Amino acid sequence: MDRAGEREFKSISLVIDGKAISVPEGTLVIEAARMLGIEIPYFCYHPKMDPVGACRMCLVETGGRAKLITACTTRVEEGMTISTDSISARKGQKDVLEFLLTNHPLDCPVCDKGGECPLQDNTYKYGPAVSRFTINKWGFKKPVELGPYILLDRERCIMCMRCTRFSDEIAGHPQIGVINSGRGSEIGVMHGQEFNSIFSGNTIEICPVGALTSKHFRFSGRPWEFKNRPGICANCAVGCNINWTIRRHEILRVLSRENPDVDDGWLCDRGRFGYTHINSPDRLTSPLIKRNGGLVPAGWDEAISYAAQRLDEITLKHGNESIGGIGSPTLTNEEAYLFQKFMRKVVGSNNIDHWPKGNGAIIEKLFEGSSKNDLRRFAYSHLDEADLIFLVGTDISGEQPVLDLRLKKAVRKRGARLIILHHGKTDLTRYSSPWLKYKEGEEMLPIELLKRIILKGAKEEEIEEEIKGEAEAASFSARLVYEAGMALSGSRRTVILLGNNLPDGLIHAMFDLASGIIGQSGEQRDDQWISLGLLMGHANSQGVLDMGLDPDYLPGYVRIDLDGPRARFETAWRYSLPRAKGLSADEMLNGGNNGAIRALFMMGSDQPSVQSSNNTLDLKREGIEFLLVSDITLSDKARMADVVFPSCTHAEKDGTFTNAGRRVQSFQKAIRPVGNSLSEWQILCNLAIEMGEPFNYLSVSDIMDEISTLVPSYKGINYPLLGDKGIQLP
Amino acid sequence: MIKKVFKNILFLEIVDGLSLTFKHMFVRAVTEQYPRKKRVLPDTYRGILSLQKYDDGTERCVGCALCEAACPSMAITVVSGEDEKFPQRRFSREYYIDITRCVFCGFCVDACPVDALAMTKVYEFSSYDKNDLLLNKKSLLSLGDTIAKGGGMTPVERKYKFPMEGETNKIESKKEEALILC
Ligand code: SF4
Ligand code: SF4
Ligand code: SF4
Ligand code: SF4
Ligand code: FES
Repeated sequence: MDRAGEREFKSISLVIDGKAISVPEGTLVIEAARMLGIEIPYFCYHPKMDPVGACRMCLVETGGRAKLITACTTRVEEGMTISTDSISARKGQKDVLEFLLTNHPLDCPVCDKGGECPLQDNTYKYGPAVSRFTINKWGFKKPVELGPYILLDRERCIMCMRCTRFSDEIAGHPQIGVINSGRGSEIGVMHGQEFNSIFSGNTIEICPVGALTSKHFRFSGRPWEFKNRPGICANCAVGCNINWTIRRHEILRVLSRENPDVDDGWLCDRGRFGYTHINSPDRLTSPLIKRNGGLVPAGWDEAISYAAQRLDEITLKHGNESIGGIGSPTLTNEEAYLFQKFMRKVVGSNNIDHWPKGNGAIIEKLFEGSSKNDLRRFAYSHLDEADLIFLVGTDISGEQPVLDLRLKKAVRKRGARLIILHHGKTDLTRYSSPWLKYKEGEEMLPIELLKRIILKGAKEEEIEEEIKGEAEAASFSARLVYEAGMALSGSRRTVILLGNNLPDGLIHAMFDLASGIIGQSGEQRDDQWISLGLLMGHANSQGVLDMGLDPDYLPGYVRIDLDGPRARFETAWRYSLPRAKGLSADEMLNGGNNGAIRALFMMGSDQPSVQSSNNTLDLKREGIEFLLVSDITLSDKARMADVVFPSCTHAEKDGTFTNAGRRVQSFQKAIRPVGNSLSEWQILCNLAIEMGEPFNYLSVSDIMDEISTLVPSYKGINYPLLGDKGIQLP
Repeated sequence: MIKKVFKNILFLEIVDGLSLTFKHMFVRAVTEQYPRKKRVLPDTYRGILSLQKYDDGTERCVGCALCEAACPSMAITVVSGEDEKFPQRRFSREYYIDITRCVFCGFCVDACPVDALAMTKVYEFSSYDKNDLLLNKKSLLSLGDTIAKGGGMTPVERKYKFPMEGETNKIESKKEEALILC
């Protein structure tokens, strides 16, 4: 065991059910059997958690030992012979099941798990047909509430402890545990706690029986009636892969769909339970036109031609520049691309932006100008290799929850070091060494200090001096900054993550710092790299920026005011693009009031994630003659509009999102559109055609093909290639 | 030839035929005077389906949709949910049987774990409007109500041997909370 170098390569040969296999040392017997395609029944074993051997389901016989062993806790040994289906192994498995069922209520008909239950399946395959236990089973009052989303049925629990291990080992929120002991043990909320972890929903999915059930989904159907269709979570920028559980075109639940490069098989509660808006009765089902002060339903043809006519009128009267467009960061890449093309080509105005907006374009420009190979663009997988993770002004646990799990894994399982620079306490600050706490708005100071320590070799005493001068601002000690600086310059593999709303200066400073560290010469720095990323705020914040939903940039961050790079688009679109600088979303909303903007096209829904963002949209109708909105419900902005187009949620349309780690992921329509709603790209095509511009795209893949020829980083991306795991952008 | 002519003149065939008619005037009739007279049906008759209640009036159906899964002609639709009256109990929020599709095989009755479905002896349910034949939960329960009075049988027996009117059931109730044994 001491020879750490050898350990990784040492392989062990063993024989399972007569088949020989060599596996790396340290592999569990159950895993070795799986590699051979031999099934060993299990309940408590979970590939992502440490083994406990709680359920005893995985009993197997091993040559030379009298007693059966549990395959999920035993590591392979040289020359082992395992038999999973010998008479005594099978008898052991059967007896364990009989024991598990002595107190199990077997109320499968009313159990949510019935039909997809490992206990049912294992009993069917390995269990006894009848029980010898004729005494009364225990009875508990049916479900107890564990947390806001989860109910526990104690009768059904088989004490596998997957739920408690998950919340402790993986989520880092040890809020539930086993109370009492022996036969009386039950799962319960730890004293003085509430099971309100943002990852609580995962326990429902990993519970091998129907003991943990979801308050939302409870009783709403049986598994054999469902279809599971793949999708992408749109509730934040992580872009976790999900499966929609669907019955008769209704979304009933959201399950995880493991993608090792994105979500590692987990979801947060925001994503898992944030689907109720999709089949909500509030959804718009037909276009609305304002008549006599009220919005009345109209047909698509009527609404499209009315909107086109009004836009034309306003262009004639006030010029192209009087029309503006604001998209939402939940639009797909295709829709964002088409929207900016529509505004720039059909309308002829550069007043196009998205809202809410982060500060992501800066980092793109910085990377464009840098040629250092060792300064990588951030991808989630870098967290799995990093020695040091430096978070600057970002609350990952709140904003990109599932990424927080990957961070915790790096810190807790691999011992990576975490340094946090943040003004407030977050879920991760307890793992950070050190946590540099600054006063809000004064985040530049610690960065400057770090720069001096790392790049100029300043000593702790100098820093001490420095801080003394600004004792007001610094709520951290020189010791901590110095420590952090030393760690940063000494680390081999570093991930630096920036928050979404940091000031420009800080992003520049961080970039300089990162390139500075890389630039420092030294022999020991051959395999050193730094991965730098800016974590976007919403499902497709990264994508809409890439697609040029921005007044200053065309798709691929091509400056609108530089003739050279722009020519590519002018040739492709066969149009000479407007030169005037466009207005940003904030300016448009204010400019509308000053008369610069006469018509505003607001595209994309205020999905819950956008609604909950702190800054609220300040839209006033004064000065705007015509407001065109596409949304999924009659939101505040839709209520003010002259024409409202009902649009689809991401469960009802095809498209791609680019997540915070710059992975492009595609999703397909899972249910048919609610009412007469259309996807935004279809609305744009119809409107463009009505306005005399042939947007003849038959599907999103036609649009993606055009994007891949125009945007360098999306080069060669197409739908078949995206598959179900997506593509990481370079 | 002559024989045939002779036969025709004397209408012998008619005599032949009528003789059978006259004979039957003295034999017991096999036809029933439906609808004036109705036959007593055997206990295992499989007529229109009904939903059953416990004697205290609580619905039996727990909304498990096993009947839906068992039905070979896909006539049943169950939408389950949580019972507002008895929180945390599963029940069928909506329940439909499209009786025009039903082949009266009784698989659903067999599948039901709580004996909530029973086949009645009702066979007179033809209608001018097909929509009437899409039975919803209300109509299925009222079918069960009007016909299931009486009994003296266990619910299992009642599944096929439908009690006649006037008989009484064994008292069975599901209103009490789950037993607490420990
Ligand atoms: S509630 Fe489920 S996951 Fe938790 S111990 Fe019981 S059976 Fe296992
Ligand atoms: S982390 Fe984000 S993408 Fe993942 S499930 Fe949660 S809200 Fe959805
Ligand atoms: S009797 Fe047969 S066909 Fe009719 S509803 Fe029941 S299972 Fe379906
Ligand atoms: S009638 Fe019986 S089988 Fe059908 S849903 Fe109700 S309880 Fe289940
Ligand atoms: S799976 Fe091995 S003891 Fe539970």
